[in-house]
Amino acid sequence: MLNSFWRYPKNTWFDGEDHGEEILLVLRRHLITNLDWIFVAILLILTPFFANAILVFLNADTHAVFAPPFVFIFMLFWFLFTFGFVFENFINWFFNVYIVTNKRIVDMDFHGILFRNISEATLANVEDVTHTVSGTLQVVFNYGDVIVQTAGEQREFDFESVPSPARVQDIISDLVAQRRHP
Amino acid sequence: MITFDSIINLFTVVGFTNFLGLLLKILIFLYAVFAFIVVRQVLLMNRSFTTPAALVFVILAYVHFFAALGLAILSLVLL
Repeated sequence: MLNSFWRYPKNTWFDGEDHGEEILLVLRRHLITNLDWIFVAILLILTPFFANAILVFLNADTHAVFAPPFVFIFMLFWFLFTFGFVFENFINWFFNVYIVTNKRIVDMDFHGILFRNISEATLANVEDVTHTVSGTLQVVFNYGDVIVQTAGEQREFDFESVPSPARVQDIISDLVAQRRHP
Repeated sequence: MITFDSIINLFTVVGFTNFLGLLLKILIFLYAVFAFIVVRQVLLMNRSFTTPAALVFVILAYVHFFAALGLAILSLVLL
C-alpha cells in the first residue's frame, strides 16, 4: 500500500469509479522524492536537543527570560508542529496518485490543504505514451516522468517522478492496444 | 489600548516574557485552526481515494486536532 508502484490494489477505490471498473495500477512519486521533507523533519526533531545542549554548554540562565511553563508549552507545540509537518507531507505524497484502470487513467492532485484537481481520460482517448528519465537520481533509482497524450479535453497527463517509467509506459500502451484491437 | 508605558514595558524581562507568551498563544490557536482544516482535508482525500489505511489517517488527523486544541487550552491556563 505504501508502494509507489502498486499493482492490482485490494480494497481500494476512487470517487467516480464505475461498476465493473477495476484498478490495475496505482502510481505515486518515487519514495526518494520525499527525502527533502524527511530531512527537514529530522532537523525539526533534533533541534530542541541541540538547542538544549548548547544552552547547557554556555551555562545560560534561560529561566530568567523563559519561565518553565512557557518552555513546556513551547516544546509541546514544537513537537506537535513537527508531527503536523510530517503528517501533512506524508498524506500529500500518499494521496497524489495516478490511477490506471481497465477503462481510464486518473490523475489526482492535492496541493497543500486547499487545492484539489482531478483529471481523467478514457483509454480510448489515449493517443501517445512516452517516458523520460533524466538526471543522476532518476537513472540510479529508476524513476521518471510518463507523459500520456490524449484526444480529450485535457491534452496531456504528466505522471511525475513515477518508478519504473518504461514499465508504466508498456502497461498503458498494452491496455490502449487491447482497447483498440480486442 | 497601547500606551507608551506598555511599549516601554516590552523591553523589561517581565514584559518581554508576557509578550512571548501572548505570541505563543496566538500561534497555537492558529495551529489548531490549521489542524481542523487538515481533518477536513483527510476526510476529503479519503473520499476521493479510499484505501485500507483510510481509518488510520482519520484517527491520526483527529488526534492531531485534539492535541492542538488541548494545547491551546493548556496554554490559556499555564501562560
